Amino acid sequence: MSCASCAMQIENEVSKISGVSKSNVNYALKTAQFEIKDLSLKELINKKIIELGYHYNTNRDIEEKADHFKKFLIAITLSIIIFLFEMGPLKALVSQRVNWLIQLVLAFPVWIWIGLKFQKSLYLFLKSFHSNMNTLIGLGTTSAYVYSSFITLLPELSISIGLTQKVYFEAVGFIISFVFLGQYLEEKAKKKTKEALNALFQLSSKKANKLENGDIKSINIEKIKVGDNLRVLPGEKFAVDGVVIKGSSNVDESMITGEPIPVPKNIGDKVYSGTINEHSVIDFKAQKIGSDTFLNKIIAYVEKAQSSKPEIQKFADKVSSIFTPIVIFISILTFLVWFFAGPDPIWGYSISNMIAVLVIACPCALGLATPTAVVVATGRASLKGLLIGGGEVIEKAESIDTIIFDKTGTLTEGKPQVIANYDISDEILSDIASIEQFSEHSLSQAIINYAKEKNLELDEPDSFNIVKGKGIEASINQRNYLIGNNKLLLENNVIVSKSFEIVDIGSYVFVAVNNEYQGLFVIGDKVKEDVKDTISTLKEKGIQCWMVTGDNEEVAKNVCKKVGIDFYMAGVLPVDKASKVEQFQKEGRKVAMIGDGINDAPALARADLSMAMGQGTDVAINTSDVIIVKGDLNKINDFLILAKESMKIIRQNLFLSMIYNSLLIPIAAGVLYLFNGPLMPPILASIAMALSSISVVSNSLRIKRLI
Amino acid sequence: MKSFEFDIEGINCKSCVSKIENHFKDNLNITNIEVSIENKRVVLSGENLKGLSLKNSFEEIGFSVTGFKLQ
Repeated sequence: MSCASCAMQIENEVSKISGVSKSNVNYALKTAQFEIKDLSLKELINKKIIELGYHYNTNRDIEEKADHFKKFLIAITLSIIIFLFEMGPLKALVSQRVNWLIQLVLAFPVWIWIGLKFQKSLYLFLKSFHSNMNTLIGLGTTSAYVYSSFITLLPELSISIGLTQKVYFEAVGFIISFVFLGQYLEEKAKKKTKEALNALFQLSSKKANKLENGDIKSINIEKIKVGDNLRVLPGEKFAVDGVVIKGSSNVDESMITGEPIPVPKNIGDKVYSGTINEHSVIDFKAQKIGSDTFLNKIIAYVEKAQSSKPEIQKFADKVSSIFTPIVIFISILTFLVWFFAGPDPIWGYSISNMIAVLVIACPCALGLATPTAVVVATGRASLKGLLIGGGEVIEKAESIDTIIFDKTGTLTEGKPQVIANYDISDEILSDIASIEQFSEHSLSQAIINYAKEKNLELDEPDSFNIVKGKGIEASINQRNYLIGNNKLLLENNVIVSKSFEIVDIGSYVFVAVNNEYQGLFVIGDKVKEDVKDTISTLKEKGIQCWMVTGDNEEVAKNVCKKVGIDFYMAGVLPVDKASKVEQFQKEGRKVAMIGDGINDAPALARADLSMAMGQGTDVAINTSDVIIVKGDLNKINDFLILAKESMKIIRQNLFLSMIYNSLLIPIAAGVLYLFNGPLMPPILASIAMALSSISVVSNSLRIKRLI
Repeated sequence: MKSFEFDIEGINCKSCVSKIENHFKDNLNITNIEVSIENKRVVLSGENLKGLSLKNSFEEIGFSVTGFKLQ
């Protein structure tokens, strides 16, 4: 499949087969999914796909890229040799007939083997009138090759008909080489989207520990039944969804909520498959298994969204689908005019000039117009810390009018930090951090980092005790510490004596020394530095900014206020994020989603354009079109500028790639003949080709100066 | 000579005890190991011992430390 309309065609044709209830063809993944009544239909679909001129391959993992480059090298080498025979030093080596025969042989593999997809596309066009860029290339090269071969192989016949004695073998060679190169470059710039699902699958555990009559048995996850009791050791993942029946621990649920701080779980609390038990043994009862689990619902959604996403038709193909019929019309017109109004030999002139039109109209630079711009743009972007997943991404970015941001890890740093310190001296801080080294609690690391930033020395406590759900009791340097929530202090009859204003949103960690209140830390998630400017620039561009988060209303409101986002949705589940995207799309908006977590994956997969933070999860990165390597949001603006300007250059390129050829069409059609001028010499085709290619490449290089 | 008293979660049976004993046997700084199943407590004594590295050592083999005391 070479374009989105090929995908459409397969989809439509297959869905016409009775018994096929759903047909879904994904151009980006080059995969197709069909929902069928019974397996016997499979053969029928396979046949249909072949009938339409496509291959199918049940083994999805075949890669051909290295092969592509080799093919290009072969094509260009052969073309250069042909060129040397036609116009270079080899010309005088042998007689003209032998020369042409050599060219014919050399051009043959380029035409039919390396250029196979163009010729196939031409064949398809003749069958179904469905055209794209490849059709135009196929049309030009095939007419050139067939005509030139006819002249070479049957000289007497061709002379007797009066065909113009010239060959276009080198045009065939160069056109195919360049377009092939363009497609290779574009293919290379395209990121594989398949990996997202693999990364998601890797999140689920394969085995679980089943409790049975007091024994523990390791079983495969498929064997788990609803109602089974399962044990999860520290560091292990929950295999399925369920409810805690014994023990308590903190569980890393960042995949569901996006929040980095683990959630305490006690008896009766729900746990989800793929989440990680942080530090104590937990027994739980399986409630949802297989496709009903939370994780599998996310996977199913991502899979569905990725394969049902409408792929935009490439701009070059859109242009070609208009250009091709026009070219064919002109060539037929040329034939007819020469046939009915031209001089003798009418057959010779009519055919020769029609072919000349088809050859000259075959714009070799058309194949380079998009890829060269894309290669320069993606190369430039990667230097600036943006990884762009191919040309379509740039085309899609142009029309974005709504951007949805995830909160944690996207607008904020995504890791808990000390954001406020009330009355805690460095000496006390050093003690606290020393104690916190022994705690597994996620907030401890924030305090340790805070102390390390101040270059404080850490020591070892003399005693240390975790008070579950409340905090830590410890002693160090002859001081007894209570570090934890307000409950811990109250339990020990410590009264928080000083008042403080609650301005910062985060977790409050109270500290008492020798049973006297000392002070407190606020640990929270800082908003990234450059966010505010980025949002205001986006708003100036007329892009509506939203924040969608799994976090609560209060936090959402606070963050939005800080960064200047006007719209938000709080407390949403992963699939709800995606529904919001869908809703916007139904309103006709073009939506970009920016996130970092597994919980963002459904929305990222659904969005028209998706961007992930480089520090984000593999799942988010693999689901996304663009990766912001360092997570600095001002890169969004850079990207939008780059995309917009690159599209401008791509349009100019398409114009440049066709203008020389189009201007030469009248000459090829023989207009000059009317004024006693010559018919088109084949060299003109080569000149047009060279000029347009040089123009396109140098125009593309201008993108380097954009950002 | 220092002695550390660790409260450990997850000591349930004899095999846990031997797992812990085997794990610390190779540490030449440790001269004495006492493991108590009832109290879920491990006392490690020896020279140049560091509480933090011992605690991490417990976690390596899947036990979590809920408290410790320097005797």
